[in-house]
Amino acid sequence: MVADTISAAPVVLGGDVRLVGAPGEPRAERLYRRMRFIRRFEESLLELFERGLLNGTTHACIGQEADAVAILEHLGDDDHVFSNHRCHGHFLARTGDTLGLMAEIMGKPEGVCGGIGGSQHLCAPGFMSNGVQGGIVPNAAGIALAKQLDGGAGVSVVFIGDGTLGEGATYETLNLASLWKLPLVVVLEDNGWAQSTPSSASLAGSIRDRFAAFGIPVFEIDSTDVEEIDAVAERALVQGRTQEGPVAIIIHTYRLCHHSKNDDNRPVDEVAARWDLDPIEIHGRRLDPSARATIDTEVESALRGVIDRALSL
Amino acid sequence: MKPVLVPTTDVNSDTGLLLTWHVGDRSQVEAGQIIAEIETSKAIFDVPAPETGFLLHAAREGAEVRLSDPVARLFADADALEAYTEQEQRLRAEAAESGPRATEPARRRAEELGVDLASVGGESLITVGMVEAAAAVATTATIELPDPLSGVTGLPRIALIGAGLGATQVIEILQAAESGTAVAIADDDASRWAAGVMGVPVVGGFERLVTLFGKDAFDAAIIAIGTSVSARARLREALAVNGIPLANAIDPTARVAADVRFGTGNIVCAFCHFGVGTVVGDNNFLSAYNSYDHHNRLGSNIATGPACTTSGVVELGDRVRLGTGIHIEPHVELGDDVQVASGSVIVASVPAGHTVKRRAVTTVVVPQR
Amino acid sequence: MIAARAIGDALRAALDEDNRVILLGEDLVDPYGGAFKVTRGLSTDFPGRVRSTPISEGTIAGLSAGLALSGYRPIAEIMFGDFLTLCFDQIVNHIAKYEAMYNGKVTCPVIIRTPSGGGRGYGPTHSQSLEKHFLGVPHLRVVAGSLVHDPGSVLCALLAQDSPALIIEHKLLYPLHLMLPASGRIGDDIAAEHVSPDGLPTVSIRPVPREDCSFTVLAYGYQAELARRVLSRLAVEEEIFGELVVPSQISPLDWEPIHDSVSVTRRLLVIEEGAEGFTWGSEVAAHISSHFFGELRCPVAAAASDPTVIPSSKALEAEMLMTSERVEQAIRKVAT
Repeated sequence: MVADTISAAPVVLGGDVRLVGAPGEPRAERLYRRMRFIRRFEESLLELFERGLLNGTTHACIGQEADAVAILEHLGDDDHVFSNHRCHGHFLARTGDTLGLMAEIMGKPEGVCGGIGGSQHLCAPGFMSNGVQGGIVPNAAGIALAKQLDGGAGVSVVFIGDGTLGEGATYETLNLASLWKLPLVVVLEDNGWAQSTPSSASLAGSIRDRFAAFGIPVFEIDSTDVEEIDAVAERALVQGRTQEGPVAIIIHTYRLCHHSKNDDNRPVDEVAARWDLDPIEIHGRRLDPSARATIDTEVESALRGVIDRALSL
Repeated sequence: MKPVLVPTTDVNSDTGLLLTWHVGDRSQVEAGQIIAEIETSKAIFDVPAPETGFLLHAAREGAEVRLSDPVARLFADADALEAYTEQEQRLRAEAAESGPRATEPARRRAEELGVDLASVGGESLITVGMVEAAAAVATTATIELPDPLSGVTGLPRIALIGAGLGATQVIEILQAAESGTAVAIADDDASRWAAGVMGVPVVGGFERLVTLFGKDAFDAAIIAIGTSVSARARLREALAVNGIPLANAIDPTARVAADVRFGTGNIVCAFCHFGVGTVVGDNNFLSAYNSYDHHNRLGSNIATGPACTTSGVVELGDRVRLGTGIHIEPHVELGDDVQVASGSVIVASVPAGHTVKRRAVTTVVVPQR
Repeated sequence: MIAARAIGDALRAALDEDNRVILLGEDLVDPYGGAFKVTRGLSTDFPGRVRSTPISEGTIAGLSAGLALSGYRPIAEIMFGDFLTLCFDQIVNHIAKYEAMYNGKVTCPVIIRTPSGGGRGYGPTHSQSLEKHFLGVPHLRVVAGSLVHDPGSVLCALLAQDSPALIIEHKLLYPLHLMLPASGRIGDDIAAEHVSPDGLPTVSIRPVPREDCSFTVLAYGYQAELARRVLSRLAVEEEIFGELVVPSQISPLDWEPIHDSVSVTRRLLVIEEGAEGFTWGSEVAAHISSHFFGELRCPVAAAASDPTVIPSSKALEAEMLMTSERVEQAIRKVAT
């Protein structure tokens, strides 16, 4: 159970405390702040695209912020995160490098990869992402193997989606990771849709059984409540650090935004219904309204500063 | 010589066993006659002789043979077979010694020329070229090179370069003009050494010429090569480097206007004409019946065939090469290194480094019926 | 020393000298020691650092990428070059891209070795030379083992730098003895070695001085050995003199030793075993034709195997592969 106490925040590689939270901040508030930060970042990004100030493609994670925030609560300096095309939330939760990400997506040399990687191909200490489905899974396992050879306590986390289960590389890696007892943590964000294809049309059998087939313990939750996900993540990471092999965390969630841009033809009422389960709302309701409002304002002004700075580069 | 191969369709075997020879070694066989039996993994094959001839075995009975190698060789006659076996034995014997490495053509040539391979190369593979060069050196090493003639009092002593037909022309011109006397000829082709051209000795190569000049054996040189302008130019350079001056050889029948100026080393053959105001450079070989009209300017190292005619104010650059029977209109300039095909009529200037070719073939050669 | 043993020793030295070196691949572990026995003895002497994997070529490559990104030096073996196709995504979209796409923040120095090539009658999916499909992938080195290069030196050079490399080893070379240049010779021939700035060698072999050679043959791997034998024989039997240039890294190419030869001989034949069409030879011909335009005495010739499946039947295989006979045919053509 998560206690609403002041606890030591995990190490974050820099970042404005108004966005990533300050040491000593009450946990509930920090969790809210970090989700709110990601939400507002993604929304601002999409708005910049609308205004024609950004080009290319991007994959926002609106609706799934709780996953990134909850999982990252339990990772430290010795751990590594490998994410996919929908990586902004994971990146921001890991590094807090708001300007680096914004400038990267803008294609500027001040971006975290000099404008070469863009939205899907990010690299920072303890973080990488790539845009080819499934291909990152064996890479993450290789990083896990490195940690095993190093003899430390670090784990290698890889974020995949329900759609990734179509790629053979995923299963090859689960097999090998389990065989070699690699410290790999697979976080599967099942948002029910792979681009425009619902899971019912792309997934046979059960997601859970796939991991079980390789002898990998599964921690599963169907929720957008950050505190619930956080609890599951804590248990999963404890298991993941026992050096008994990989673990899987399956989070049934929902993407509230388009797959990339202007490509959402999911049933309108389905999407509308899921807005009722907006993670920001679910958790935000727990906060004292004025504390929440303060956080919202701080996030807004901090983000505004970054966007203005980025646009001026 | 025809190699005899096993006519097998067995693709699974690389090798076979030679079971039996039906004919003796070196015997005569008819085309189609079965000469041997070979066993492979699949079957026993009869091997027929592909043609009539004398058969040489290439493997013994009971031996394992590679199916891609010949099992025998067929020769048209017994002599050819003997020659082959002798040569094989010899080559094998030679290769067996740790003797000098040589290509097979080189070994054969060395035998023909009587050259000892051990004396030829050091570490490198001995080639036919190297064997022939060694043979030539051996020949020339034994030759005693002649001395130049002593000359005629009052006439400059001239050394010629090139012991071919050009030399005969120059010697004849010098005799007719009485402007000099040919005392020696130099040629880098060693096979021409010690011979003479019209009584003038070929004394050795270019190096010998330089040595002789140092000993004051002659006064000037003329390059008696009519065909290659690059050779003329190259030898001109070499003479200049060694401080050897050139002389002119102008046929007495040439009609030269009073104010015409010549450089040195020019060869002017019979009945040439040089009009008023014309200037000629150095080292040019101008054949008979060349006519350079008034105010022409010729460069150096030019070579022309007979019957080339220019109009007034024509310029020929360095190393121009004219064929025969060429006519050039007035005010035309031929740049350096221009080459002109025989029979051309040139009506406009030609830039340096270009060739004038003739399109239409107006003279056709057909066999007589 | 036979090539397979020399490669094994090179891997042993690498494991010995650098703790970061890890070997991965199918059936590598003792007593089997690898499908071609190259890694025999290594898993015993370096426990935990030489690992047999399940049959997962893509993951072998992907795992290697992760190891390399973490600072290790993985040397993966893909059992047959024919199976490189299963690694294509990892090699092209991951291994060869990480350093550049992340603007130099990481390196991904994966080395993949693979036995490849035909001539044993192993059939369409175990005989191919697929390296041509990896030529020109940006940021990827393609290296080919040949008898005239020391596998130890080549491996050292690759381990001394940070870019990924694919090493093609022709299986027919494994049982043959290396022939390294010694005192300027290989056997009876003159041999010169040129080493590129990053340590990859090219060896030039000629029976007579270069100015007496009338053509250049460019080849690697097993084809280089076939060409060497043919050229040696033609030199001695018929005074047909050609210079053989054998690069170790075939993409990108160190052009200097190739230019040095072609500028003198002015005739070039490129030989490879891969399927004809859009090949290594095509690229070399384009470059050399452009660089030596007007100076070549004839168009650059490129010889390759027929563009079809490689049959299992040895006789049928010999009809479509670049065999010694076809090498000789191609050489005779360029020599006249």
